[in-house]
Amino acid sequence: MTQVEFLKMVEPFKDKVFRLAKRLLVSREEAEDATQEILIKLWNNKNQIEQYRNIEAFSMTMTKNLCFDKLKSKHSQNLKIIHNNYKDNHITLQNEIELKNSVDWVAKLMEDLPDQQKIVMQLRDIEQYEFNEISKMLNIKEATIRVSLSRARKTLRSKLIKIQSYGVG
Amino acid sequence: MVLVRIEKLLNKYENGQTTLDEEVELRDYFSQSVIASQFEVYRPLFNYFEVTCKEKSTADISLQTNSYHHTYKWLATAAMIVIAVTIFTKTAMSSSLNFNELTEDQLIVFNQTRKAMDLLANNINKGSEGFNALTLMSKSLNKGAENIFLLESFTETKNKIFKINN
Repeated sequence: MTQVEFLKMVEPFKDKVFRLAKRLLVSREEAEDATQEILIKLWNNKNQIEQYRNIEAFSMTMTKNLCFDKLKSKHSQNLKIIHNNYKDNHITLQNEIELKNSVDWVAKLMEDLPDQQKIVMQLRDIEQYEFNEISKMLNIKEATIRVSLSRARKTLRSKLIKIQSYGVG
Repeated sequence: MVLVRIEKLLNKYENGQTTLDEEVELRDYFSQSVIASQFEVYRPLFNYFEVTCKEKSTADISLQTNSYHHTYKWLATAAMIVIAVTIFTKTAMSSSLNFNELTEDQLIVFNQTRKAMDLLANNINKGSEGFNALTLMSKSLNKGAENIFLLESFTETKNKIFKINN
């Protein structure tokens, strides 16, 4: 497989990998790095890759695992003061201005969801995968996925109601 | 009619029971500019999905860096093998030459070489004897120089005495 062929093959799902990484790692730079890492891993295993039936699903699983590893190692590190390591629960004026647009609020609310709900919502509501595809990617049962998804959707709805009735909240 | 339908879909949606087609239907509904006020709360959610699924990675993909690593690895292994082989053959060759295993011709050559070496060594010894004489001479020369110094100090004092007498 040449590089050109490889790039052609990953093109359709490259951005999906990036978006999933960004959902989990939050920072854009880290998501770019993770995407790069995934693509290099795929490229290095390009000989075995042709045997996989669904490279896209395989890549999404890899992305999830890589991001979890990154998050884990970040937690175990000593606390460093960089922007993505300490969480500011207090919404600053700057954020408030940025979040004026209620659409941006959804991103913020999704950040607060548990990781599994985040992933499921990302894969279903944003990437629009079928439940059986998600089930294969995450290696969890469809019923469990539906439950996670339902919880995530309900949480977001109730938080949005709160924001809209009480303002910034 | 539409409202009832949307209401039903939203209910299914929240329970995780909608199909992808139904979710597309919902998304389409919420992308309209005017919707029923009771559904307004869902608008940011579906609009966000619509926007965020278009986000793209902007970094360039570089696969090259890694293949370089590969060639370096191969070069390193090749170099290791070459070095190992040369060391092995060198030690094997030198250890295999035992004195008893030499043929007659080789012994003759060996003896001749030894003779020549002995001759050379003798001459070197002679030369170094000559050197001994040379060092002896330089020693006496140093002594002479010391004596001259003594003589100088003697003349100085002598001159002083003469000055006083004058």
